[in-house]
Parts: sequence; structure tokens; C-alpha cells
Amino acid sequence: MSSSEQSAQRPSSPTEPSALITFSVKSSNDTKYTLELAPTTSVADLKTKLAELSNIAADRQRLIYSGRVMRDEETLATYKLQSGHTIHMVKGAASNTARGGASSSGPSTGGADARPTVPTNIAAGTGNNPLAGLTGARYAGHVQLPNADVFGPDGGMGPPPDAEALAQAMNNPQFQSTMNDLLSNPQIMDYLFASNPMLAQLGPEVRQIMQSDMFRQMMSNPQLIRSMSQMSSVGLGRGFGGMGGAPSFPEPGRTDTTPASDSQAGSTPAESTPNSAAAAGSTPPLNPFLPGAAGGNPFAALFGGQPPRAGAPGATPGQTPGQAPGQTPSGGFGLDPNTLNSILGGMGGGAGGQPSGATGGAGNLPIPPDHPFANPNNPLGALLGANGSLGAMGALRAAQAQAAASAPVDNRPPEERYADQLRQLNDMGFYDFDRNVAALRRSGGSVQGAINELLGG
Amino acid sequence: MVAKVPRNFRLLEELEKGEKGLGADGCSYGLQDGDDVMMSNWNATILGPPHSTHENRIYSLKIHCGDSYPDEPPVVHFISKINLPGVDPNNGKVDLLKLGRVSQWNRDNTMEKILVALREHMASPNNRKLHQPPEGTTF
Repeated sequence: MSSSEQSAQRPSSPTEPSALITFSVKSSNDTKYTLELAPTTSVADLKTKLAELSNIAADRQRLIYSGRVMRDEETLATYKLQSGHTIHMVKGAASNTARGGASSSGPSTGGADARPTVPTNIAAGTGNNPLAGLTGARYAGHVQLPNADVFGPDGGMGPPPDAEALAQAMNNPQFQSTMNDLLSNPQIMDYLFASNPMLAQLGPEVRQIMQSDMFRQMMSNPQLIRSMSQMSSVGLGRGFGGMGGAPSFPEPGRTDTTPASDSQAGSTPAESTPNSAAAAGSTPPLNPFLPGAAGGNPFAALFGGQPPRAGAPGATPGQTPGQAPGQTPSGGFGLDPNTLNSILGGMGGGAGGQPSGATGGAGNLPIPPDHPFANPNNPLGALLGANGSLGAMGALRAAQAQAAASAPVDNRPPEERYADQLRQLNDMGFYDFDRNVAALRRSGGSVQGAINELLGG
Repeated sequence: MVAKVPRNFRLLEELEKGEKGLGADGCSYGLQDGDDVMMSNWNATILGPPHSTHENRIYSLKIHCGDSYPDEPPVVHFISKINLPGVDPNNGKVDLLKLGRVSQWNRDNTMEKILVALREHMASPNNRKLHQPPEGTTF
């Protein structure tokens, strides 16, 4: 419908000055337009205005208000639109029939899709993030979103939530089940592994550990998380945010202060010796816990059982203390409580690549004797090691974000789970739904990988 | 024991959510007649979920909230023709018992939850490829 037709159709031009109503139009790609129009404005006119704003041609717009599809010839008043209300705009696709059958693909849809909408999240680089789809607004109504407090005032970018808030979150059964789902979802694990080079290096055992019941139980134990967070605040006051956010980053300034360990760890990357790790752990001069850690040398016991690839190339020296426990999941069994404590210490700081934090935690753990971790025979110690290198809180964070999406992680059909990725693929011209899904499955949800798959296979 | 939210307060709440567009994506609902003080009859739309035969379709529904809502579930009818298990092929009536999430009705459920459940139902692997009657036909 051309705009001339519309103006001809206009029942009454908005010349008569009645009170304007201010309302928003929410587009399907989450863009929101605020408009101020007279109630006598026709829907067709509204569409013309929206076409200018949104680049969606008027005849392809579908406007929905209050459960009704708005018809061009009606006016806003017909629908009793009021100030502050929201109209939903959907892009009605002419390609409907062409894409209706999932297998009917091909360039025929090209014409209709000549103006693809860029997914709003494309700039954010969420293409290969399987969690991305979970944060979509379409889940807004499904679950109770976690309190914003959980993420902190800055939306989770900065310092961590305090121990209390976390413990509270952990007590929430929904959170717990989310955590469970999260850790049992291979896709998420893929993502975790892919996003953390440290983890990727650790090999398949860690994956097993993290998928084990024990680890899951641990991650959903409020007390434990509380004590972990206490630990991490003891260790140089660096928060979870740092741990989760920059797991593979060497501590800033670290190279300056620890030439010795750097040369040691850096020059002999293949042989990970107790020395290099101990050196790395003990070098930061400002570490108040240094004596305790070095004196007991708890790491020595650990590193005895450590496979040679511990210091494999690519691992920054700073990561070593945290990493080591994770690599010796079996070594954790039967160690004396001191050592376990030090493992826990590694968990506290190691994730951030912060050796001082690692040793710091070791001397300072407020773990009661009956605490599960203090039990020498408890495999949890080893699990915690793995946890340290994971950036325990990073995972927790992910889980929190996930709590928003909650349970549907596992059982959602692929078209929902990969909705964003599929849309991107579609926009790039891959129309074969089944192949797209298969490719996405194989690539673990990465659009890039899926494209390679599609082009290569 | 928490005080029960009376029917009309509850419906007003839902009305506001619907009108302000705060609800879930892909669903919209509002009063059929804005002057209806009993707020019994509602319109709703469901946007066909992507990657299904429903994609890009807009389904209209009507919802009737009886006097005992939300203790009793509302009665939901499709206006647009749809081929979907749990929807009466003759009159479009939705059998809520067939909708996993809301089949066990309790008063915390809302019209929006029903719509969301319906939309998920439409997108489920069993249903997303069902052949659909031509767009625009109604019951």
C-alpha cells in the first residue's frame, strides 16, 4: 500500500487538535519507538510513520495491541489506545509460504528476504554463546527473574554479590535446579570449555568432574558457596567478578613483580615443577599470607601427582597454582587436610590467575574440622581444584544469568534453543532448517562453526 | 496464609501488563471491550513461533474469565483456525489439560502463562510441522 493511498484513506486528518497520546511501539527485534499521535490517527498513518523509523515497509508491519491485530482503516481511538501503552510491531514476512516447509529452501526466498533484519545481538558477539538465546525477552514471562540485587548495582559487571546474597540465591530451589541443568548440559559445558583456555587444557577429566553429581551438589550448596566467597574476599579482596571475568588474564603488573617465577615458569613451560609453582605462589611481595603458605609448602604434595602437561605452553604462569589442583583430580584423594586446604586456597584465588590469592587462602581457611572439604578422603577436594581453574564464580555467574532462563535448558527443541543462531544463519542465506540445526548441534551452537560445517560439508 | 487477590484486582493487574506490553514476547492480550467492568472477555494474539509452520502468522484467540477466575481457569478459544492437538477442530476451544505447564491449574497461573504455554506447544517438535489451514481462516 503506497502512502498516497493511505492519505486518501485517512478518515480524518489529525488537524483537529485533540489531546495527543504518547505510546510506545515495540518491534520484534526489541527496538522501542515512542510516538505521540492524536487518537484520530489512522493505523495506516501510524504504519507509515513507523516505516520511516524502523525500515519495515508499512505493508509488512503487523501491529498488535491488547490482543488485537490493528487494521489499517481503523484509528487509534478505535482500539482505545492510551498514553503509556505499548503496541507490538511484528514484521509480517512475505516469505511465509516459501519458508513454511522447513525443507523448502533456496534462493526463491531471497527476494522476500532482501532486507533481512540484523539480529539485535549480533554486535554483542553472542553468536556462539548458547546462553544468548536464554536471555531473550520471550522468556520474560516464563520464570521469575532473579532479583536485580543478585547481579549487583552494575548488572553484574563489577564486584560480586556479597556472600549473603549468594547464599540466598543458592537457597532458591530454582537456582539449584538451574545449576544442575547447567552442569549436565553438554552444550553449556562446551561453552565453558571453549571460553576458558585454561579449562580447555585440562582435558576430559575435568569435564567429567564438573558433570559429576558431587560437583553439582557442591555448586549448589549454599554454605559452600558462602565460604568460597569469604575466601575470595580474604584473598586480596579480589571479587568473583575478576575471577570469572578474566580467568586467563595474568594479574596486572604481575610480570613486573615476579621476574624469577616468570623466567622459571615461562622458560620451562613443559616441565611443571613444584618449584615453579611454589615460586609463582610465593613471589608477590605484598602477600601477607606468604609465610604460611611457603612454610607448609602444601603445594609440594600436590605437585607430586601432577601430570607433566600441567605447565603446558599457553598457560600463563600466574595460573599455575590454581590450575594444578584441577589437573590432579585423582591426586586429591588421600591428601592430608592441609593440602586440601591449600587446594581450597587455589580455588579462592587461582581462578583469577592470582597466585597470591591462592596462597593467601591456604593459610586462612575457616573450615571446621567436620567440614566436608577437610575430610582427607573426600574427593571434593579434587573437585574444588577443578573448580578453581574454572573460575568457580564465573560458572556461578553464568548460572545466575541462567536462572533467568531456568529449566528449559535441556528439553527445548532446537528451533528454540538455537533461535538466535538460526536467525543469523537464515539471514546469511542458509535456509535449510534441518541442516542448520544439525550443523549447530555439531558446532555446539557456534554460528561460525555451523557455517564452516555447512560450507564444508 | 497470604490474602487471596480478588478476581478483579488480579484481572486489572493482567490488563495493565498486557496494555503496557510488559508481557512475554510473542503474546498479547487485552480486554475485548474496554468498558467491561467485569473484565470477562479478552482478546489475545499469539505470534507463530519461528521455525514452525506457524512462523509469521498471528493467531487470534478469545479468552473468557468466569466469575471464579483465577480459582478456575479461563475458557480459551482460538479464533484463527489452527491445527493443533488440544484444540477442538470444530470450535477452536483449547483443552488446557493438554498444555503441560498450565494443565494443573492454580491461581498463580495467568492468561499470559496460558498463551506462552500455547506458543510453546505450537513450537514443540511434535507440532511445529503440522500442516495448517490457510492463513486468515477462522473458526
